[in-house]
Amino acid sequence: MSDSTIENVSGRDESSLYVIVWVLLVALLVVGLAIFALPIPRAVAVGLIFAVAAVKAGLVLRNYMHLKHEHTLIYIIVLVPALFLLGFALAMVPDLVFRHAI
Amino acid sequence: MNTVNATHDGHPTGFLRRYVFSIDHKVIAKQYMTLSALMAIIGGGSSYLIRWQLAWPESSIPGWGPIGPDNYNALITLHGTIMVFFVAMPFLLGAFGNYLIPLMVGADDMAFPRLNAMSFWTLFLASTVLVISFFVPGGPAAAGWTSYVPLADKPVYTGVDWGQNLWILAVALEFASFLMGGVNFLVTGLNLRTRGMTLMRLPMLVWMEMTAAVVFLLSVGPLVAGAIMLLLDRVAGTSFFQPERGGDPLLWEHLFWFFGHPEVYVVALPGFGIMLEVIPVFTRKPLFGYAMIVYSTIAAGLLSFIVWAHHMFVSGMDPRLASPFSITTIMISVPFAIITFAMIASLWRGAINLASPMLFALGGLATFLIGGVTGIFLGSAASDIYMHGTYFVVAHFHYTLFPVLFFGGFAGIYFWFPKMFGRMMNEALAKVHFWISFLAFNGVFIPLFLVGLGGSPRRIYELSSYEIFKPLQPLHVVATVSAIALLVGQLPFIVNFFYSMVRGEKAEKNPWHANTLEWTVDSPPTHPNFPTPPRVYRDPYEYSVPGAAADWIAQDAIDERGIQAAGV
Amino acid sequence: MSAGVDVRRGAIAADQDSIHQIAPGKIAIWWFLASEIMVFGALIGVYVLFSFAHGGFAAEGEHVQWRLGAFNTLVLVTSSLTMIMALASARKRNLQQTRMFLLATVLLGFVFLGVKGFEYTTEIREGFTPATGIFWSFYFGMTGLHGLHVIGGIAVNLVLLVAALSSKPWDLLERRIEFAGLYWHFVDVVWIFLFPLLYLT
Repeated sequence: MSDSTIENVSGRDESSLYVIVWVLLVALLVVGLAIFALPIPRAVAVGLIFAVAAVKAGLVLRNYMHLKHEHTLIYIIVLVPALFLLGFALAMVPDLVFRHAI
Repeated sequence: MNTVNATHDGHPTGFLRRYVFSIDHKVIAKQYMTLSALMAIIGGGSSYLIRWQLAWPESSIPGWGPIGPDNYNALITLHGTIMVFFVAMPFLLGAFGNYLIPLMVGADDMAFPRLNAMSFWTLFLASTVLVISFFVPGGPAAAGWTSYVPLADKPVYTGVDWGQNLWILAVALEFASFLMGGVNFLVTGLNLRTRGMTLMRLPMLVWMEMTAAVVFLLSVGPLVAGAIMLLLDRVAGTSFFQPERGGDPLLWEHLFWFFGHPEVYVVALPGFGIMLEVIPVFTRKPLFGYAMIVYSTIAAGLLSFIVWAHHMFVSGMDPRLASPFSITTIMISVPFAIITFAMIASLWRGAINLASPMLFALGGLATFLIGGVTGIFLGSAASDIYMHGTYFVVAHFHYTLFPVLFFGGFAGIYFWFPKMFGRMMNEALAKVHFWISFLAFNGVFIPLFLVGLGGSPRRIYELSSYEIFKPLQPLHVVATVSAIALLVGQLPFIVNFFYSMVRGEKAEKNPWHANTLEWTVDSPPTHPNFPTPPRVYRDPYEYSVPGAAADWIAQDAIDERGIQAAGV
Repeated sequence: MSAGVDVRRGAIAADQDSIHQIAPGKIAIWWFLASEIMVFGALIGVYVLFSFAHGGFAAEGEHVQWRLGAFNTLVLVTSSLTMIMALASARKRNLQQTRMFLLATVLLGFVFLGVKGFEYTTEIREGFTPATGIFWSFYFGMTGLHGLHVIGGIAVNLVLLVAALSSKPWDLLERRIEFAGLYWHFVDVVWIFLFPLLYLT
């Protein structure tokens, strides 16, 4: 029972896609470094760098981990923890950010 | 093909492969049961010491000797840690989950049998590490099962060094064990269901075990992170929880309770699952509100992630968090109320048979109701301010955990013993076991509600030297006498269990005339469980269906005459 | 007996529901990754909050070697490429290429560890240890935990490489490469977040 015949593998050779994604990832790495070097306010730089990281992560998730081909259940398995973490971090903001000792 | 046979081809031979390193889910389940029983002896023994010390402080405890404050702290730490992580989890999830999920979904084994064996042996390793911690210099962990910092963060505060580190390691290994087990439960329940077993035809126990697995999987991560941070603080000089060096002690509480609260539902849900399996069988009536119970379970599982700070109302956290968490905590009482009301409604006009499984299930339901209701006082920040850290909390959580673990667990044992061992247990001894336990349990913890309302704080090794608590001392004595009765009251069960295993009346396939798939196979099951894969046609609780041949119809019965597809 | 209700009304005529279509091993790996997301996510989230509280760790973080970190990012991202190419080769049943890409992934993993080890050594020599302060607690803690996961991933990939060298059945090998790949990509994603957080802010 070959699983690759059961789930949706696009069938065509995705190798060229993988290389393109790699090029994008490297490019975004350079972009991230560049942002770090720019004379912009720290908060803006941090936000941008995080956004770049999120895009890179998304590329890996969608293309290398095949999330775009997968069943909805797997999307949920990834999304729900992310949401819980967001809630967890938000709940700790009053304690950790505003009342922090140092 | 929709059932996965175990990866071994035939029945393994050799003592080690069959009984020790087995990958058969039924053997592994019994291994979990044995381990949890052994750990329960330690956990129960520690409660004996704790209770004696509280009733007659500074006395020499029979069979042990005197206890000082440090020993007391170690005892309450070990009692909590062992009971939650090394008794409740292995018993309710490891034993019942492993034994029943494959049988109830119509599979021959779990999805990953070898991973299953590994999960048990990881827990065994964890238990060994914990026991070793009793004997290291400085003694075992003594910072509570919650391991609050800064107490747990620096050895100098507790005088415990390696004991605490080993505690962290043991708990981390336990987490790893149940992560592996949880994945197995989920994949088995999702993928290995036999033909016709839709999600809404699953027995309730399977829903509960799967929800517990999901909740555990998603909640344990932050505490794993926290445990690593705590260990690093203790051995590598980091300062995650040390305010004087940039850390924050409150962070630990957030990390711990983000897991800690969902964890208690991980324990509670399977206990409910057992009660929900038993009740329809002994009322000969369908379970009331199957779909509502399923949705409530899922809702409870989700909500459990946003209530954790109700453990922290007086911790010094930002007071503005008190209201939101009070609201979510009150909200979570709704799905649990629905589940308990569904159990009660399932009794309405049923032909109630008070056999031992049913006695335990009802006893669990009744006591859990008290636990649930008292939780409301604690979930509201305003009243919690008075009651946090008192014996009221202790009584509350024993009135929730004990019903699901003890009463639910024993309901399960008495119910499925015939399936597991092919023999019936003695009903008279079982009833004695129930009544002593039920009365003694209430005798321990009702007084503790009163002690708590009287203002007496917990985690203090003796209270009689405080003038204001002297009037409460008789309550402690009542609780301790009851506790001893409770421990002694387990003897009828122990005798019954071992005697019945060898001399009990032989059990047929389906002594209780129940519908779920595990009752269609031999007692104990053959190897493989289902020589022919079963085909499910019906819901699990079709009892007393008008016009049917009997007052029960098995899930794999083709029609209401109850004839099974694969033959009787 | 009454003529009876149509008891087949609940029976499933067609094949099982769509969840049954997902390979068990794949669901298992994703559940495992979900719990790992919670572990690393908690660490990262807490670090971010501490960073805000502290007004950023620019001063403390001055001594992290961002060039080495950037290089390591390149290494790990490339190893993700080689890993997915190993899967593509396995799907095409090309044994030679599969072995080559698995070997490359393993080697790149070792390079990552080597660079990390070098970083740790130089930092500790200069006096920056886990005990140096809260930033360094997080730095060593998070990269250390990540490093342990890299070691685990290398071990798994080595096992697969050995399996590929001795020509195991293709179906099994392809599946296992896919699952190991999911884990390896996850380790990469974690680093994609760790790098900017620890090295660039």
